[in-house]
Amino acid sequence: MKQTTNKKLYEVHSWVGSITAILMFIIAFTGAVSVFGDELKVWSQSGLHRAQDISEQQIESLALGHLQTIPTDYHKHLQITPPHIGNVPYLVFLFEAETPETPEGEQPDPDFKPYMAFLHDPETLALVDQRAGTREEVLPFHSRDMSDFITFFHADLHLGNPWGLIVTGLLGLTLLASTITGVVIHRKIIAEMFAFRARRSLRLMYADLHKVIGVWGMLFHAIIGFTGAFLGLAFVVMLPAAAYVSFGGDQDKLIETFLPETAPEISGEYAQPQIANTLEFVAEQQDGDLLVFNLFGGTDKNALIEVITASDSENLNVRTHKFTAADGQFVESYGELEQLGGAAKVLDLIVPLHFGNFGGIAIKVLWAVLGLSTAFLAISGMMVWVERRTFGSKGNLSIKAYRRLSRLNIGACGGVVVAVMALFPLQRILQDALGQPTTSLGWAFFIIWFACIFWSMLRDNDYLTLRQLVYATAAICISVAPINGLVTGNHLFNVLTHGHWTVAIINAFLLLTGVLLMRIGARMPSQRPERLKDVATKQQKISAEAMAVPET
Amino acid sequence: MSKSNRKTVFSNPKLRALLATLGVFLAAIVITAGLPVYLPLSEINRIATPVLLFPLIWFALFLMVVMTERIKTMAVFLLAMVLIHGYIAYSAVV
Repeated sequence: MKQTTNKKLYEVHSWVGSITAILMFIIAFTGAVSVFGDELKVWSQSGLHRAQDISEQQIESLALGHLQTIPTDYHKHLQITPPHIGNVPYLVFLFEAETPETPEGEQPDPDFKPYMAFLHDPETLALVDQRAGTREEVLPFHSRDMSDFITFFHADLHLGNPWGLIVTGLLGLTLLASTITGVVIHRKIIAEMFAFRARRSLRLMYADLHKVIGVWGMLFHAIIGFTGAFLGLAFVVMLPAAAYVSFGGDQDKLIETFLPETAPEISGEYAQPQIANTLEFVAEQQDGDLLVFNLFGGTDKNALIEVITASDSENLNVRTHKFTAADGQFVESYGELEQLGGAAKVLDLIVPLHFGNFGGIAIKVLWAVLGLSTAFLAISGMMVWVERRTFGSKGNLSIKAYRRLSRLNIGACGGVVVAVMALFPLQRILQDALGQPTTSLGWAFFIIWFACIFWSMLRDNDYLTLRQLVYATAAICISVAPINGLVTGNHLFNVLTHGHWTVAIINAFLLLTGVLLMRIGARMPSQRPERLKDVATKQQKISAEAMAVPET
Repeated sequence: MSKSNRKTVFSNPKLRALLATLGVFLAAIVITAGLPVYLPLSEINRIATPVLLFPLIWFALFLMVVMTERIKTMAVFLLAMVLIHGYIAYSAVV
């Protein structure tokens, strides 16, 4: 490859990386935490702490009970969702009614209530509430908590649709570009996989860390860049653009055409739907969790059942299992877009590949570790960029400007870690103990984050600031288990009797992380280990800057 | 090292930066809208393929813009791609 080509690619890699580094760290770090979104949802919602596995027979018994009591108009569609799916901390039975035909020239019936919902306690299965109305009216129970806050922050930085999604989508594109250009400019890939010289200069350590993380996680970074770009831009830019010609930009029409609703021919003859049998059949075939159970046609002989399960070790995509309801006969099993074939099959894999939810907890842990590596890739690249300009020959700005940039990096990136970890005790204190709304979590998060940035910008010693932020994160992590025990009564010592395993494992993990961070913090330098060469270069730059100041 | 005696790697950096950011993104969107008209595929794949190709189209155009020696020719090329695909998409709807 020509030297100029390599130099250009290096410049592109360097500039794209430095411009996006802080945002990339934030998105990648919160993404690594969001991988455990389901587990964090259980941790956040006290009602789900001791939730037992609900048996297929219990679900069938409740469903049949409701089918008998509600008007048959509502038999068009029954949707059953287990607790915590769709952010509702209840076992939900949602019935949809057939929309009555309105004679021409007349107004639709204003009293018509298209949905009816029954909500059951996830532990006792007692009926907690029942409502009728529009979908928004019957399901206003969407309980936002810290797990949602982190997940949505990762998805759109809380800037909303479309701007937040565009920003994260563009970051996906730049990650893809940085990964590919990085591979091309670092051609000695095999050698760089093992070249980590921690005891040499600081700049060399950052550079080696950047290369080692980049090379080992190359495929993952490219996948996350590609899928992240897709998830950010798909519904804002890509689908409207691609659907413009065929559907005049109407995405709903596009979805309706390719994914039509299931609607059985109603016979009028009664037959009891085999809810438990179909759920048991799917549970035997799949190890993916139940997401949604659909019954179309209620107790009609021709009713159909669809059981939708999460990705598992064999199937990367979310799968739908279809049955005839009356006899529980299995019809077919398919991925959401897989049935359409061709490129649509690939689209079906994007979500599981991005979220790492296709192979149980082991894949989730791997995805989280690799996600953290993407975050460190961004920040180590930025530190190399700053180091080369502060203590090396590169850069046109003053040393002060680069030092300021370095402080901003430490404050923004270290601060977001502190703020995310602070959401754990804040969830317990603000929401559970004091009953404050979710917005209070948001306010607290941003106040802590900006305080860290402000603190970092005020301090002259980056190394000491970083050490303090590590200690702050450690202290917060250690505080989670006792605060959780005090507020909810579920602590590490009564896990055997209370059965809140998910909560206990998360608390224990945070406790260990806190102890580990304390040890790391103690070993971190409190000032830059400057070498004579660096000091000389810095002195030269300062003298050159002083000489460049015009005399007044 | 001062700015004046440093040899610049990229010619016409302002135009290049504008094209690499806004120009390439806009071109990738318009190409994605125009591709379904002439791709010889089934209806779903005519929509799904450009959607799937979007990140790669963006990256290819981005790389072309940053690497080219003749940035003005590249600007004309991008404009031509936008106009042609914009016209194809528009004429298919009208």
